[in-house]
Amino acid sequence: MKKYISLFKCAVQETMIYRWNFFFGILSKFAVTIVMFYIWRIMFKSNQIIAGYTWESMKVYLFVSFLCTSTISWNAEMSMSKKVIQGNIIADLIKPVNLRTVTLVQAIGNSFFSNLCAIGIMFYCAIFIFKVSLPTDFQIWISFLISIGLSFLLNFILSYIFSLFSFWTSNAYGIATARSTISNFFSGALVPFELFPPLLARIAFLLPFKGIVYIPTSIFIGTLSGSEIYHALMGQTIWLMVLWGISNLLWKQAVQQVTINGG
Amino acid sequence: MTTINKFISLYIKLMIQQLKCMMAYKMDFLIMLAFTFFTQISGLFFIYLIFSKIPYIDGWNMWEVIFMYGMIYFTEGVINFLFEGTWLLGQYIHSGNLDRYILRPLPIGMQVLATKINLDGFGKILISACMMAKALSMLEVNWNLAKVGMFILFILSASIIRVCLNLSANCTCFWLKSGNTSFAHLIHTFSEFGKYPLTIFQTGIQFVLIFIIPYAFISFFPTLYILDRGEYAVIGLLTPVVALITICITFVIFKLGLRVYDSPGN
Repeated sequence: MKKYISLFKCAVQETMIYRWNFFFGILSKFAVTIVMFYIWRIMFKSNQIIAGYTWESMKVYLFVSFLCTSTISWNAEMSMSKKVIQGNIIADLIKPVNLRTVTLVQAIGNSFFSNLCAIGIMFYCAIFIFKVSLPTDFQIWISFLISIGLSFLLNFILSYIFSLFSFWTSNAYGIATARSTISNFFSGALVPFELFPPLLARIAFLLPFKGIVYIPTSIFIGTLSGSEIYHALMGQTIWLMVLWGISNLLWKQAVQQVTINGG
Repeated sequence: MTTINKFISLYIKLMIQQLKCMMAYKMDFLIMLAFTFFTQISGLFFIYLIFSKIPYIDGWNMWEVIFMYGMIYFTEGVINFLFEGTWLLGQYIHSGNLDRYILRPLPIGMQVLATKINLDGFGKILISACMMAKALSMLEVNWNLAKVGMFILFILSASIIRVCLNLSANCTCFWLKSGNTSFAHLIHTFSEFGKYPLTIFQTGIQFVLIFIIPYAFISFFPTLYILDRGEYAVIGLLTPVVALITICITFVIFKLGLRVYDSPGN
């Protein structure tokens, strides 16, 4: 356990070395959400309700969507790909640590402070500038926090699985783009599922990505209530376990692949 | 003049070399094209979803927004395809590889621009060109010779502005010395603002998008002019002027950066 904690500390310290990069990194998380804000604002000027959302609830949706997606970064796919191409992956295979846990710890560490700052800024803006209404029910907050924790882990494991594809192709940029596009779309980060055409909505509900944005957001806004929340949380957990298993299988294949081509 | 000729022939040679590299990994190349296509389609799909619920955003219909979207992606494709070297500038500064360029008898800026091509960009250019063509066919445009000429000029100017913005942003690596492209990436994320009509944003943001980081001149004002919308359409004519100004400013920034550059050795 100690070795993972020190890896975490290293990852955090790495981000703080270059202050300006850290600062710019935080700012670049906001651009898309800001643009979305203005688009929805204009749309709600002429319509009171769109797909069951009011301007108030859409603001909350954007806010929570930001919270859930601000932890996404390109680093996992790109660094994994670099290691494979340059052969450094051999060093990681020899070390007495689980590579997946290392990646997770580093992902948390790399994004730790920038997430804190971004989330802090967003909370401030949401409450004082945009006057977003937050739920008062204690139970909702608890289920929301659990859901967000699960969302982060789901986000990580999906990103990790995609990054494993870099054992088979050297195009890390393509993998990262594909993952981010699919994830943004089917997690509900871009648009809530209520706006999807029926067939797409059904597909979206079957996939694990909904656990990244749609479920925590719906809990927060109140679209889901009572036993529905419980089912949603169970869904997130089950998907997490399934994906964890898939990543294990893929990893075994990937390592075999490397052994064959290496030497 | 001979410098320009030298540059162009060198550039073509570099491009061919890069192409040979890419073709060696055919599978990767195809996968990359597929990914690019997929990303573009989902972007379009997003616009379609929004417009399926409401017919207009601030008086703009779907095809007009798609046209602006196309302009932004086209210029992005131009950077990726022809001038990807700008993103590598930070690494070169950090590792001292820039010395190689300084020692060569060609303008350093041009060498930086010619460093890398990314075929991903070609896909973007193709797809966004189709997007724009389709959008224009669905909109009522009063085409005349002058307008066609202006349109070509707009595409050129928009690409120039975008490339200069990117190069200037990457020049921050001269001062920040970390080799990290986070500032350039930040400016790149601002392109999101260029995909939608400028009028939906607040005045402060509009000011930034017009005078400081002129994404408005990449998509919005050219579109206004081509579609003959409103009294501000004539501002579109300023686009080539803005392009010239950005070239000059970028030139100055790059020169200043070189002055500050002291090599970490190699």
